[in-house]
Amino acid sequence: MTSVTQLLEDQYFYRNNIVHRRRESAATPLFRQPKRPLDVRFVRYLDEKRLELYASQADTIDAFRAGHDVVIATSTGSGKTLGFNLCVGELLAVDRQATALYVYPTKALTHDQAERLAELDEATGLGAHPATYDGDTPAARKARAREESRILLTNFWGLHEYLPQVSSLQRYLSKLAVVVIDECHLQRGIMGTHVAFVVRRLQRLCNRLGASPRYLLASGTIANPGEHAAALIGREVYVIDGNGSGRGARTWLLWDTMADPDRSLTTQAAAVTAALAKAGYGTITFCGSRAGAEFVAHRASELSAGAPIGVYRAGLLPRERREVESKLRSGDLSAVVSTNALEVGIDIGSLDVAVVAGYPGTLSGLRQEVGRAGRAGQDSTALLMCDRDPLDQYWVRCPDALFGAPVERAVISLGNKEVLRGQALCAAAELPVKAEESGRFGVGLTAAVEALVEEGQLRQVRGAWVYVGSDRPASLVRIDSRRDDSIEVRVADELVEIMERHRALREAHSGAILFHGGSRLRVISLDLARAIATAEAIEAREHTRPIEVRSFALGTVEVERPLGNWRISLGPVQVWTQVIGYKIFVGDELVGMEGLDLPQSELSTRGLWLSPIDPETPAKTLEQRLLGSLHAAEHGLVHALSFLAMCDRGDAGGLSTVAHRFGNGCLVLLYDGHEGGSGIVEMAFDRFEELTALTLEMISGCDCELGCPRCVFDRLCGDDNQPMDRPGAVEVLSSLIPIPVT
Amino acid sequence: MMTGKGANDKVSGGEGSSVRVAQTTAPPLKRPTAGVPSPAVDPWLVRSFGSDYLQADVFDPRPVIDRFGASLLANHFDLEEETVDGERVVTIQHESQAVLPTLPRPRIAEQVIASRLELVRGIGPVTDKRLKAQGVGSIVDLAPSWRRTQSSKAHVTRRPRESVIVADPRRAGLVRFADDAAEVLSVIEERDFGRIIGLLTGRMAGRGHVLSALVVALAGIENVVFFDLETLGLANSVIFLAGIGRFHGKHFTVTQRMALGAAGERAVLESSLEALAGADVVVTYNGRIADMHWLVGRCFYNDLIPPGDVAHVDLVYGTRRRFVKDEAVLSDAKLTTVQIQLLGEERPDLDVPSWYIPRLFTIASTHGMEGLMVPVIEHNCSDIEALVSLVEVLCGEAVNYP
Repeated sequence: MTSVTQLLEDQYFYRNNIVHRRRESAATPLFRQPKRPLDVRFVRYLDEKRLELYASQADTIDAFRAGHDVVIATSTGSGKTLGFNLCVGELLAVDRQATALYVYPTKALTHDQAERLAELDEATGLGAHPATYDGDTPAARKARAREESRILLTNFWGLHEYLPQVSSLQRYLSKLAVVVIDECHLQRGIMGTHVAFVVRRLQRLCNRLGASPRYLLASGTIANPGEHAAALIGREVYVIDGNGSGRGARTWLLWDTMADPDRSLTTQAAAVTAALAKAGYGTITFCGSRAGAEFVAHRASELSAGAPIGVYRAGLLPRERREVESKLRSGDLSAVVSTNALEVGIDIGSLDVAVVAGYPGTLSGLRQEVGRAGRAGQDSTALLMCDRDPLDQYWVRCPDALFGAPVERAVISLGNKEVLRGQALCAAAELPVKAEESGRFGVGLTAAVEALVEEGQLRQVRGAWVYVGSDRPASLVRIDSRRDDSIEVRVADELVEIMERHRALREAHSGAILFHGGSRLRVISLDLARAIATAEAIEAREHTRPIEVRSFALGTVEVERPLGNWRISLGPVQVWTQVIGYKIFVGDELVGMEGLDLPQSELSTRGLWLSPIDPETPAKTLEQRLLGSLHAAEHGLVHALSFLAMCDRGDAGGLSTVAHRFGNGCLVLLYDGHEGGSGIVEMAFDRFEELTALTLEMISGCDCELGCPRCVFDRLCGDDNQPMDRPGAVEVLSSLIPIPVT
Repeated sequence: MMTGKGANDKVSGGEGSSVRVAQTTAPPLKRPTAGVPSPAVDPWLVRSFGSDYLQADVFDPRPVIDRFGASLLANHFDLEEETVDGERVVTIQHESQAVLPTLPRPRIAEQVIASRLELVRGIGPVTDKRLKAQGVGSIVDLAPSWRRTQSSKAHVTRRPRESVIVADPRRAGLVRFADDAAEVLSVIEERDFGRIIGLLTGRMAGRGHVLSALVVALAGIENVVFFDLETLGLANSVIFLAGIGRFHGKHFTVTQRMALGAAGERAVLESSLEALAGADVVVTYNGRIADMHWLVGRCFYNDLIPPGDVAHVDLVYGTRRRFVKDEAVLSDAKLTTVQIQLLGEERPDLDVPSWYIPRLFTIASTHGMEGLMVPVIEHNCSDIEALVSLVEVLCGEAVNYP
């Protein structure tokens, strides 16, 4: 068989797209036994399954036995699940009353894992009766689970809903010995912040019932697994980050879709998938959206001359998913196209090539996806298809960054007042809240409960705050970032995205082209009263950009520090935006302009701003180039921030001006896209040097003159990416950090 | 409550109302607490009661406010008052007009229960039919070795020998039921009311609920409390009023303990626990998922020991089974419907629907209008009195239940 590289280079559609090639050599697995042997039942279970423990799994068991809360942050396919299942199994085998809770990010994953646990339970005679306990579980089965199960599996939405019903969960919670939080790196931003408080609510209920569970967390590859896990559970965590699972050699190929500007990402992905399938490579292709995956699968089937290609996406029934999986394993399917929403928890055996059509937004997501190939230890190929976006193009220019130490950080914001207020309300409905609990919930607790007293939701009784409202508090407090006025984007009645209102006004107004994964959607109408944006999938290469009027007000500076000739400050900000119209582009060419009549939106959030210590200095050096330079720097910083904080592009915003009365003349503002803030600007403040260095790396290598879509342009820029001065931005940013990056 | 399919009393309101509530998009955590609410769309109600509210009539509180807003509770009731943690808690005793219900004698109740062969493990409808055809008329016939204890006052006696056709159960293959049959008879003999109810509702499902009313007859009416709570909402919300009805001789007394603020909840709970501890059986309407469930939840919240395993007869299931499912006597099983359509009783003048009570309490406490609680107190008392009449009706049905 020819090599994947050779094969692709010989294709009719190849336009020198492969810009980088790297080989990661194979690693030999490192096996080890825990310091004290496992219970004989588990040894037998491992023998039957012909499993040997990797060093990381043995370390996990040792650390957990030593009494630590543990986060396992090893790579994809390193057997994290087996590691924590053995810890839990051992605990439940020793104490026949003890119970365990598994919390997963998705229902699909919960169901997969319930099956695995049931198998372990059966094989080892644990008698734990693992049961899923979520929104899909019928009431009768829930009642039985409450009575007899010692292992419940749920998600955080569920836990948030079930905690107020503590009296019916008493038996289970009073014996809760261990809580497993899988894929904890996904619990970040606003959702992660809520999750941290839900965990605290769980802890206080358990404590009241005489239990104090320990924690086992598993994380994808991030820079701060220990810090993040500790923030989630509110105490120190022991980090297992070694590996030892071993793997086959992996060849990375970076594919630049811009080398062939006439073909879209999905068209190229379909062609690549078809070529690989035809040549007999077991292939999985990841797309950013369901529509994209369906298009790629359809087109690839047409091109592959009979090689069967399947789709694997959200919305498939478990039975259908199993069918796809087994067909892939047996070779009845040569390739499968998947949405990256399903990157976790797919059991598809060993594949040869993983194609990732468009950078999935995070490195941990990317690693998870390419980890689907080569699982059986054979050599594999990872093909990352980089599209037009600045981050995609950053990998094209600086591929080394893809293989270095992880830089992405999972961030939560325990200081978010709105989140704390909602969670304090839920907590008070579960048990009276006492002032001394600020140790658990944070110093903002008193202010939060006082606000709730003011609203008539809480009342002070015998020195504690009790809930006196009538609503079910969990139904008032959404733990994801969705708010009551959030807009649902629907394509043919299928929900594809939920956006906060202020963001929908910019990105999902009628006529807007919305990028969803690798595909484009055109918004047909935005109904603000019903909170629904109706869209259709399109294949055209056009895009739109809002024309908006924005203003902002800076709150009191909470903390600031000098940075070269500049000063960065952190504090509350308010941003008002009104979209008055939009421009339509095909490629870079402006083809039309439309007016819109939309209400102004207001965002009260957290911001970080950069202003010169001496107002004259930047103006002197950059003169007329100043605004363009700041504008480009702002875009670059926002792109780098969304990368560093693993958030979507819309989760962070920016503004720049040369005429601000608070900003000593000129100012660059970065703000959190979520009401109340999700912690990203605080992180950016603490790591501003790192952020600046990353921004410089991302923008300085581009070969454009003043700026282009591959570096500092932003397709959502309300000022039409004008003026823009990339070299000026490099000058400004270089002056901020001691060692300028060349 | 939200899980109940239509038929319960906590969300009342007639059919065919003309005003429906539209979907609202109110911001979270903010609900109007000041001012008199408009009788039209109240988003707070929609959130609290969900789709049930959408089907309910819209209630106009203004007549209640006009009539009772300026009034004091003491103008309407004899009450005792105390201050708990700075908030008022009142105790009201009603000498009720409810008459002593005519119930089957314990001996009859016992025989009716013992005649249900399905209470024995392994006997389903098919076996039941076959055994009846063989002449087995009572569980007693399945347990030839069972004898009631000398000290027992139980009346599960063997029927005259000639009526027991199965002289040798071994031959008829009935021996496999003997142990469990004896066990069931012991439970009845020992007056283990909780287990009797458990057997009836567990092994006979809906039909068992009709029969469970007989437990009141078994226990003796003086040992039974009739129980109803009023709360600030449906999900683990503050309980502000507990109504407890009990017969002393022929006289029925309803004792209500009501907190005029959240701090008094503990006192209300303590009265409830005390009343339950002193009774053999508690009777509620929809109390399995509401009152008793809430009581346990609020005991946990207030760090009180929850009620022990008190035998609990919940009349809603038997009523629904008998009068809505078996025979469509009632349009639904809401207690208000039962009172009007089945018992021929009238609701109190200016009745407040159950779903509006939390709102009225909030208005009363926010505006210091304690008089608004007058119709709530009467509503609660009326509900409890209805339970007494309903027990009588259901026991009558149970005796002849097919």
